[in-house]
Amino acid sequence: MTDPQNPDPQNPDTQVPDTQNQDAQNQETQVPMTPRVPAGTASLARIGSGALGLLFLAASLVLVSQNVPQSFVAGLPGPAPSLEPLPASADAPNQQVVCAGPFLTYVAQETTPRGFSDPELTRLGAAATEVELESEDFLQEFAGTEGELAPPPVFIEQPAEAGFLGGASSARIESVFAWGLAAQTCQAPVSEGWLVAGSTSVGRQGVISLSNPGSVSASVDLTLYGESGPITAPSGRGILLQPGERRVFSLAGLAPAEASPVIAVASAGTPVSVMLHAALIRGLDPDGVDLVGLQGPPSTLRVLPGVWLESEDALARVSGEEGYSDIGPVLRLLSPETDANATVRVIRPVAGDVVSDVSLEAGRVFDVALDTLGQGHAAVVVESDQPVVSGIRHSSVGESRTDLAWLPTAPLIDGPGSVVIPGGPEATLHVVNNSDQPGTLKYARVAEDGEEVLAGGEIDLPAQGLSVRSLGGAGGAYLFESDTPVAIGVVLREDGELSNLVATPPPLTSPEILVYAR
Amino acid sequence: MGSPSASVVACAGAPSGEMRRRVHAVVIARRRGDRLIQTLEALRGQQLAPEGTVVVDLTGDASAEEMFREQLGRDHSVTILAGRQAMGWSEALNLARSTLPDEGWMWVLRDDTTPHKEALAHLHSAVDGAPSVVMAGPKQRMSEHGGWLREFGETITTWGERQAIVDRELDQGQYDRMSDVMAVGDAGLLIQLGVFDALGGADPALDPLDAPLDLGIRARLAGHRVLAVPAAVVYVERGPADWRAGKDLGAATMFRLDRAAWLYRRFAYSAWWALIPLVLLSLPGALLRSGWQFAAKRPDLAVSEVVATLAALWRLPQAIVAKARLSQSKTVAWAALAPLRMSPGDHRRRRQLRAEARFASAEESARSRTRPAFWPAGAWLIVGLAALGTLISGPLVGARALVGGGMLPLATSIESLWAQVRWLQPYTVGNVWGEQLIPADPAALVLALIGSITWWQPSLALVGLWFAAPLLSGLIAWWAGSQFLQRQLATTVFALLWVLQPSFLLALTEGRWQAVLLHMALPWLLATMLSAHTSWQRAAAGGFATALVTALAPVLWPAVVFGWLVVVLIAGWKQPARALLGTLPLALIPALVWWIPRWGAPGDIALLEGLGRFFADPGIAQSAAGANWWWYLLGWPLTPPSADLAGVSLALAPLALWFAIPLIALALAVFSTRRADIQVALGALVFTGVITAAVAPGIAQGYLGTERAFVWPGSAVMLIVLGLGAAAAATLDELQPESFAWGSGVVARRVSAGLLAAATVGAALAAIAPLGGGLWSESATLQARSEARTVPALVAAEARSHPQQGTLVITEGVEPGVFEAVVVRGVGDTLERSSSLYRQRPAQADSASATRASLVAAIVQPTSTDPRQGLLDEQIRFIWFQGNPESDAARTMGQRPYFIQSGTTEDSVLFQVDLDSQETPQELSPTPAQAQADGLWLASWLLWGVLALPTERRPRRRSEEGDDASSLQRVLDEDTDD
Repeated sequence: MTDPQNPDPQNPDTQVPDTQNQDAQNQETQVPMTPRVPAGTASLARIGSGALGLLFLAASLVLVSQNVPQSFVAGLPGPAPSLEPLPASADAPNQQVVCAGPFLTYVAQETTPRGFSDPELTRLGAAATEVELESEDFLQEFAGTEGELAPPPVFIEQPAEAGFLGGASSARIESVFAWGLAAQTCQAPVSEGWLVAGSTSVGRQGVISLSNPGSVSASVDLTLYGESGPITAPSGRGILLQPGERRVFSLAGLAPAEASPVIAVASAGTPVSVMLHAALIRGLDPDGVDLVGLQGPPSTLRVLPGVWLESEDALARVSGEEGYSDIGPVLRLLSPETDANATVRVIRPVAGDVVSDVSLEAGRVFDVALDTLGQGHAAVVVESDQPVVSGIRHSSVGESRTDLAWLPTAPLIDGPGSVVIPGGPEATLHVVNNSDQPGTLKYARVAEDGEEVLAGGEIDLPAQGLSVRSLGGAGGAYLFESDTPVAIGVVLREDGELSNLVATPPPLTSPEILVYAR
Repeated sequence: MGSPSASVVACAGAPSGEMRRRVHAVVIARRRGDRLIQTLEALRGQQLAPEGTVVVDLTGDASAEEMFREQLGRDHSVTILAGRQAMGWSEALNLARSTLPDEGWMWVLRDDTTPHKEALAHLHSAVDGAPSVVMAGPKQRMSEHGGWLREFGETITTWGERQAIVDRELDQGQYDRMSDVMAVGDAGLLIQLGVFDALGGADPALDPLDAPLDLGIRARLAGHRVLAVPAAVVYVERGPADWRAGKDLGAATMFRLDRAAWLYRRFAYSAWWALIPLVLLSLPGALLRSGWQFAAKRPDLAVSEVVATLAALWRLPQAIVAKARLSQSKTVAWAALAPLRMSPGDHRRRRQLRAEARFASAEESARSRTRPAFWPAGAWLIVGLAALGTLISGPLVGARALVGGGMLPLATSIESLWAQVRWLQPYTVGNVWGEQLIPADPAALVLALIGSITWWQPSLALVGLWFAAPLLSGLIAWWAGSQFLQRQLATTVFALLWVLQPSFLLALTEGRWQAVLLHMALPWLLATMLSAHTSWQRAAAGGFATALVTALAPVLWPAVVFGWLVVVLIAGWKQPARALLGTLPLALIPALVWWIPRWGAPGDIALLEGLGRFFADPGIAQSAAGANWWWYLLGWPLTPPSADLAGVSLALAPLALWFAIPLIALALAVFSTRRADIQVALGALVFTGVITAAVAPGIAQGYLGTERAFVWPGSAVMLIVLGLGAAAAATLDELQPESFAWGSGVVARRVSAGLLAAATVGAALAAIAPLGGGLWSESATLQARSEARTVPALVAAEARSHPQQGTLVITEGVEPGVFEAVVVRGVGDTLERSSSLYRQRPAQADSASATRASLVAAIVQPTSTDPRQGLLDEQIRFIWFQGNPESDAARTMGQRPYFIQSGTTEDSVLFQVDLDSQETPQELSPTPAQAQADGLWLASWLLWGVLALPTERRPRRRSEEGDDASSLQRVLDEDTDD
């Protein structure tokens, strides 16, 4: 009602009034903020409040140090559960492989290449659809007055659930401008790949074909390495590929007069397929063509199955002639980033392994001649302390002509794999088991739908060994199932004709991802 | 009852002239005790002995009759009437009258009115010679201060309000010539029995206040006279209402009784034709007056006003009876009474004098405590704190918005800023709870208010806040300190200690806006708490301070309620009704009505289990590392980190320990002073603070990204620092005044106080120094932004035409194959729409999150599935991938023709989705229940706002001049006082 703090016993004005006649609303008086209690109650109040304050202090210390409030709260319902992500996955994307199309090479002094042949396509795929790529127009070899155009390349597409997808094209080119066997499987597009093949020294030509089967444009960077280190090639940077477009570049334009180029392909935007059309002319005569596909990014283990070692006699017969100095097999190695020490092991099923060590300088391509190894099938395994890429050029010597082929590092297959072999030349299957355990490879020749088994069998794989099996010249689609990691290559060879294929595993299925989507 | 008839028989035989002069004493005894005995003794000792005595025994004690008989004699002249205890003065009087003869006089005493021995004689002689006089009243003196008049004569104002002619004045004989009055008080009233009957007796409906006044007025209207007799004296202990209640009634009760009686009399005295308008107008009039009382900071009287009117209306039938009775006895026009009324001028003058006298006495007591002088220390405080603010927030110069930690930009327009300040639309909370409004965090209102300062760009205000925070906090703390401290030094130290605390610095560097604001609100709350019992205005202001504090740090709810209970228990000990029914509701209701939607919500919507739903910090989740509880006691909300200074790693923990010692020692020394309030405050603040701080890190409040987040203990640590700072400052404050007998002289004490202050402030400064540079480091949590958005510019630009567009933010986890996906709308999340409820939505996977997870998988993984339909369903027009642009996920997204890559930074890629959706969500309006809650909230805040405006006249405290001369003067003053 009024100030209880400051009653002066002598002055009734400050007393609590009996307010019979007062305006009650005005009774309130302001009081000082600090109680100034009269002496009698002062000490009691002071002691009381001091004791209360100390009691609070003591209580807080005791309670908190004994974890009383903490454990009380911890005992209340529901500590919030930690957030758990949800597993999720999406349907696998459609499979795609890009086929080579007509072999391209330069004719005379022309600046655009011409197409040679219209290769026959062997396919594997239950629900495959063929899509033509958009391409710059190239004249066919003998365009004639009508200006006949080379047909554009195609890519094959099929839903993931339809199973294996593959294709291969093969063409025997016999013309005054090019000669040889140009066979290659259709290649799955990749974002990063390496092309270890080709040469731009005199008489050697290369056409790099870049295809974008994706639905967005791709920007491709080609990084070139040569014998003396990285090659500056501004025109290889930022190559724009529209969706469904194929573009070609001259290897010589990127790396002129380079005997041993290696090309790193990096695509931004969408994966692309890159193939090298390599052609060789000795003097005035065409003497070998090949289609070379990409190999995987550098690694410390490279397995190259499918080497054909021509007999010493045959090599001796031609190597003396002018222009045939590069007829012998050559292993091309590159450690792009760092200096490396590599061990090269040539596996010969009959004659035994040959092992040699190679030192590699970072960024410099190193060609190792694989001479005096005898005749027959072989494989090469490169083990390095640093990631490397590798490829082998080998040749087949015929009666009048020779043919060359580049074989890339084959992917390791642990489980299923497939390869499509074009009909025609004699095919030989090479399987390298680089593990320390022997294994078994089951294989089956299937019809185009991938279901119907036409033939099959098993191959025993010795540890660290190469198994060779002749498949004849009928071609066809082959499926594999391996219980140990293997690299599978196919050599297509007739006298004076040579090409190499590698088997690939099916595309990786995307792993399940975890999504925090509350 | 046999005795009444006996007394009638006794009177019957007397001659009529004699009979007319016979006086019968009536004693209305409500309580036994010394006062009653004294009264009875005085009655017996009267010079003029009354003819007979009627005692109306209201004690309800069967043994009382024996006592009366013992005191008054056992003859038939004494009649004892047993009455009900609940009987009022009028009823008792009417009962006594029924036992008395037709003729004669009745002298009415109460058990606490002790007449002077000549009182009856003087009264009787005054009426004896004047036949027209039918009522007479003595001079009432205070029984405990015999020289003071309690009341003498009554009258009414122009409007009929009762006024005592003399009201509590020193009796210097100045009223000894008073005679004719309108009415007299009940104590010692002498009235002629015949007239009493003719008037119809006393009106029990007017108990306990206005019955004698009413009797006097009716006697006057019947053409009789009423006299005040200065020579007759009675000593009165209590007023009639207090007497009836047996205790001193509070102001509000007195006011209510007074108003009710006044209204009743208005009904009874009015002309018949005026009755209906009067009745109809009474309630509106009461509401009007009630509003006026409210504006005058008297909510208790405002309530009493309405209650009184209702009570008067309830007694309307009795008033009509009284009216009929009056019209029977009335012979004189009201105009005849006009000279006896108090003139409006007199009335006004009297009110002014009374107010002045009261204010003077309040001022007198206020002057006993000095007010700390602001200058010159205030100038240094302003300069220093402004510099501190610039130093800490320097890297934010030029920023338009702050992002990081707890900060987000505010909405870009003021309409949008206020749109969802109370209720969040379903789309704001991701439609997780379906089509219903979700209560916003109360603190959203605070943000909207702050953002409105820079209405053209609301986020700018928060940047400004960051610079101004130390200064504003310091000034508020200074004001708060000046409310309970007397000296400049102590107040300045309090303000500095308050600003230089680690929690505040951490709040600034970690972007804890709620803690920065809390830092300003807490001293305000402390000051209002300490002074809430002094005025309704302070209590209402305390209500707003409570609302602000609990909105900014809901974890302090228990502490704040505890604090108010302590305040109410200690300060309101003497007036429990005022404290419990006045101060406590005033202090808590604004916060409670503000929180009604929040507390109503958890029942309706699923939330995480636990206390987080009540105590979650507002805004967005922030991680909080707790510490051992003893660090809280030293003022640190976390274990002091090690600081890198010029390449040298400095472990802060041991230093912080040493730095806290002077503060804690000074704070504990308050127990040796006489600052009882601060002693309790220290205990209560540390008690609530340390318990809350210890508990806070155990209260989960949702998730920060994928991690659980817990309530920040810093808010509670601020309570501890508040207690320690206030106590340390109070100790320093007491070091100077002479009351603290410590040291030998003023100079020595002054020097020691200064040294202690310097040591404490210096230690606090040293303790926080390594934290101060937090915003300058490269990896600072809080980042300045030149634009108020959290999404890329393209998204913000598109959001202008598509305000509801979604942006799917996919964050790549640390582990491969782990992603976090959230959808933000429009220009991105804004701070005022961030909801602590949404943050605490359950963690269980439901179909919506599964859908979103597979949508994310279809986006980040190569797939043949087209995610566009899923995106369209959620109205997502952008995908913002947070992670390495070279990662597989980013590349995969880039391989979709329908995701248009629209920008890449070092750690993010933005894709526009080729979709155009113009679907605008429906804005829900509140349900009736929600609208009612809003209405209640607004109405109560309006009332409280009116009440909390500091418009009342408060006595100014004398400023402390702060020099030796004034100190000396004070010493002299105190000496003479004692």
